[in-house]
Amino acid sequence: MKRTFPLIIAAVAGYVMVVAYFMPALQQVREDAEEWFNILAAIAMILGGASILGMHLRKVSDRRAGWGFSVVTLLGFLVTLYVGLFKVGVPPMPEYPDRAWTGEYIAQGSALWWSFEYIIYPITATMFALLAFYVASAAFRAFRAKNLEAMLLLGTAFVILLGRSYAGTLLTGWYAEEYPNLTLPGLTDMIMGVFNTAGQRAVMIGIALGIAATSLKILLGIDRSYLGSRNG
Amino acid sequence: MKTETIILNSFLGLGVIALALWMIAWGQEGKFLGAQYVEVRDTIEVYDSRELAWFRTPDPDDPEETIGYWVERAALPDSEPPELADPEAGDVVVEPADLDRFTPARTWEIQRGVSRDRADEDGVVLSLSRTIGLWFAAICTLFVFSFLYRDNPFYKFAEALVVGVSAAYSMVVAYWTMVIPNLIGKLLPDLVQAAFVPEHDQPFYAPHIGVLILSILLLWRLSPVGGWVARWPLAFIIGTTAGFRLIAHLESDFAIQIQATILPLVVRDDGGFNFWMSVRHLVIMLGVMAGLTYFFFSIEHKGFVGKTARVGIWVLMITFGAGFAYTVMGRITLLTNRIEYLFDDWLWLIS
Repeated sequence: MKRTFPLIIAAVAGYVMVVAYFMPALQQVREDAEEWFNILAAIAMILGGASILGMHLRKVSDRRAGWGFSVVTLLGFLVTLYVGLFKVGVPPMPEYPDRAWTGEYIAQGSALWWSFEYIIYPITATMFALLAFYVASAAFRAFRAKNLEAMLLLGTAFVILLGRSYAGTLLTGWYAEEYPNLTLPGLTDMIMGVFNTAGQRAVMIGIALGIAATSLKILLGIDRSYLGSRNG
Repeated sequence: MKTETIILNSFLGLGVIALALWMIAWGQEGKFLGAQYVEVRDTIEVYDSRELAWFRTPDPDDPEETIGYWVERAALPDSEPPELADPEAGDVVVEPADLDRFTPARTWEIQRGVSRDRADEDGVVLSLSRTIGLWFAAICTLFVFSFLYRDNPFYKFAEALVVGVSAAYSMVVAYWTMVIPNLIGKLLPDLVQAAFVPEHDQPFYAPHIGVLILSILLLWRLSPVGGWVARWPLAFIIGTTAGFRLIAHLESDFAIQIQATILPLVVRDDGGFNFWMSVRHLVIMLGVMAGLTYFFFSIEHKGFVGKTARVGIWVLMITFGAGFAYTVMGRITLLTNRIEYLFDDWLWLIS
């Protein structure tokens, strides 16, 4: 029951999804299975939340290094959960003013909207923006045009960075009418339309084959890593 | 005290002083730096449900629409929900309440943010919550930027905060977009329709009892005993993902990509031979095959295969170079957005 039954569930669910794709009569089963998957993924969020809660509560109770930041995480987590689940600051729908819970959960001006607009978005966007500095720094240290492959990578990046900005037009615009394909924007279009298309397709076909192989290993019960250790 | 600390503290102090002076300068003009303004677009008045009841009836002018109005409970016969209107004739049989006699239990304002240029217009007011939010976001942005110097408590604060808030945010989104409409909405449709989603029109759907059971089993993992039963719903998730991905990727990333690569090598248009388009198609086709040869490890990469694989590496390097360039551009765009946020929205230094 602990290991065999989950294998049967995974195999049956997977094969149903595969077979239903080819049989219109099973379309409803496929749609149901997709919806079940989405619901279970949403429920799994509770497990994630409980895990965060447990980990940070332990850190605070043990007074481990940096426990103060765990308090911040816990406060942010609990307050956001409360205002989101109880729709704090969400007005009811104008058509149903007598039903307090009918408003859009992320309505503009609500507490959850505030937490996204003024906490999540600015902090995550700035964290990603920081990568601009680190990418530039890493590129400076790592990129050396010491062989043909490195030169191709570096040269392509250089051409596209210039070609997709105004600098490309400014530098090569003076001969655009005679040789449009040899301008930086023209070269960028050519690289993106020919070499990048070919490379992306090769990568995507490779990924598709890899995913197909991994999926088959799961459906056939060869890959059982998702069951965890035998002791569990 | 170290020289480095002195310099940093000096910069920090100068920044705070400059900010204070800038605030005072704007204060002279009667404006608060970073202030956010809103205009009220609509109001929703909610009355005490013991005094008034809300009813909807078909609109006599447009049968597909409905109109809603408050009715005095004392005017309702026997406190029973009356047939307010004849569905066919649309005649209203209960009169709307005279709202001037009642005080709303709560009035909601539907607000929309407007730019600071419109601050002096009628109907535009200062939003305290949004102004506090903007200041908080700006300070958090600076906290994150402080990581460029080195890891520090300010950055850690912002990091800890966003971890907690975004985890809860994801849970809330999952709850309102998936659990309520698709799980509860199909098991208790009347409750969901009455309380949360008035447009919810799906009937009770018995097969969803199955996913309810799986959900309970999944949450059983939190229990100190028998946590292994959570493997069953987990196996379902893994199995459906594997089955779905197997087909989806073979279709979109395998078959369709191969189909898109089968191109005419001799391109004709307007009755003539298009040399450059033919070369383009040839290069795409050879590029894909060379790239795939590099990924094919069942044959040793030497001789003709080795040379083809080497060409494949060149194609892939060009692809990675393009990817790198786009990543850099994306990050720089984000960076300019954040700088614009600080200098325009917050400090009003640029317009």
